[in-house]
Amino acid sequence: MNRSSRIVRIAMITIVTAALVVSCAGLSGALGSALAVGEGLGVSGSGARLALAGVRTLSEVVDAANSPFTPEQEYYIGRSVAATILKQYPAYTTVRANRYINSLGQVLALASDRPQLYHGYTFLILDTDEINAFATPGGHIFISRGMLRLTTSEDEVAAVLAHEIAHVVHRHGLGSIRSARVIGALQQGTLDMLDEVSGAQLREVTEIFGETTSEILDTLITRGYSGASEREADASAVEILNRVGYDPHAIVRVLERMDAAQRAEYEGSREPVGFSKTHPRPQSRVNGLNTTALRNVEPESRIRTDVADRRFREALSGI
Amino acid sequence: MRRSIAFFLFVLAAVTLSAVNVGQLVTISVREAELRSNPGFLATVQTRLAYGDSVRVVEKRPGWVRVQAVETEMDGWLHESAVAPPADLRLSSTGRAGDTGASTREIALAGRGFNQQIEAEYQEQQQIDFTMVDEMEGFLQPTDELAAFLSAIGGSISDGGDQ
Repeated sequence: MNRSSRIVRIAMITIVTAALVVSCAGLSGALGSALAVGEGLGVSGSGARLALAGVRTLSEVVDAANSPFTPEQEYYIGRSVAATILKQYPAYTTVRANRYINSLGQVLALASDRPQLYHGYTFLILDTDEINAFATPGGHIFISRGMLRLTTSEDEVAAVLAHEIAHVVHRHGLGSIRSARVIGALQQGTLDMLDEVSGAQLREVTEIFGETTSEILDTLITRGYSGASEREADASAVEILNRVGYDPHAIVRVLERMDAAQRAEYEGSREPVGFSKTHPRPQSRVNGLNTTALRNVEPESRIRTDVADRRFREALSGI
Repeated sequence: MRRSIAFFLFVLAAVTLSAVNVGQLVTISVREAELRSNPGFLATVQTRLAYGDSVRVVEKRPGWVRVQAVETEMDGWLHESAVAPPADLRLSSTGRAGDTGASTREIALAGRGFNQQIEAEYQEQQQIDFTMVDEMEGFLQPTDELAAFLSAIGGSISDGGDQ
């Protein structure tokens, strides 16, 4: 595809996205990412954003079926985001616990709408009391010891992992990029190259790579995804849990415990850390789930919870 | 009790948007794709293809495609998320690959942009250690182990009809 036809393609997607924002502004679940753009820009749907130059965040052209990055690019971005997260948080290296998280997470990923990634989904426990979990665009998913300590059963761990998998499936991290330089590079084909690069081009592409990494880290650690992206990830997590046979209401139990932890944090008038800084109030997410994704879901689990919870306790006893 | 994952493939059918069509040339979008004898993650692996290899879609089932490799003519089933239309792998903006009659592999890998070379350069500049990321990626479990993990709690992964 040459440059002009790609620009036409991206412009077409932008037009369609803008049209959806105009016509269906009330459908927050189905159009989460499109609405995020509208909210972020304070735009009510004028023709101003139809021009390519008006693309302000990548969520306008990134969705589950369409990314301006190749799968290989997503993987390398993910690796550098993961490596930088691991500069800030040490890994919890107990093999048994990490193997358990990986088996559980990879089973859930198979049940997602995007089971196959360039490298696949892998999981790692972070050695911190902070209550948090992160996902990179390359399928590297982190969960903290603090978060695992809040869970009391396998389906609750599954709920947290399924939510993170959903962020990868929907490419929320890439969609959060708003760097004009990165967006410009994608539009101008700066990252399209057949061979190894050197000199000024190597420096330029490496800088854009660094900026892409920083933008995603900023979303994961400081800014948070949009509320619409969080709701979309919660709804997809319910679907994933349901397909495997876990109780989808487990996500509500974890959120309520997170809410209690957050209230305790506020009472101690400490600075918000971890998820509190980057996520909507858990109770608001519970309310959202109860009125949408969970409305018609049977509450009972279909897996053998006795076996699941025994291995949960064995694997995470030291957490 | 064993209905869970056997069922989710049918659910996937309802929710997966079909991005590719029978007869279409598409590209492998994962590092190593396993072409299976049936449309299921536990079906026998018949051959493996690499990222960027060109394949033609010869049959579709919900969530799955049967593809034939352009170079070797070997065929097998892949989950739809393991292939992408060639345009998604970003051909060169100059159109050079098409003009020069480069091999299908070169065309598909064009536009790789962020790659190992860029990671190495970035690592040197930023003094970032990828050792733990490499270890993390080593936690990828074989599908039969995932199937055992699931069957212990009464679930199953479909073999797509394998005996």
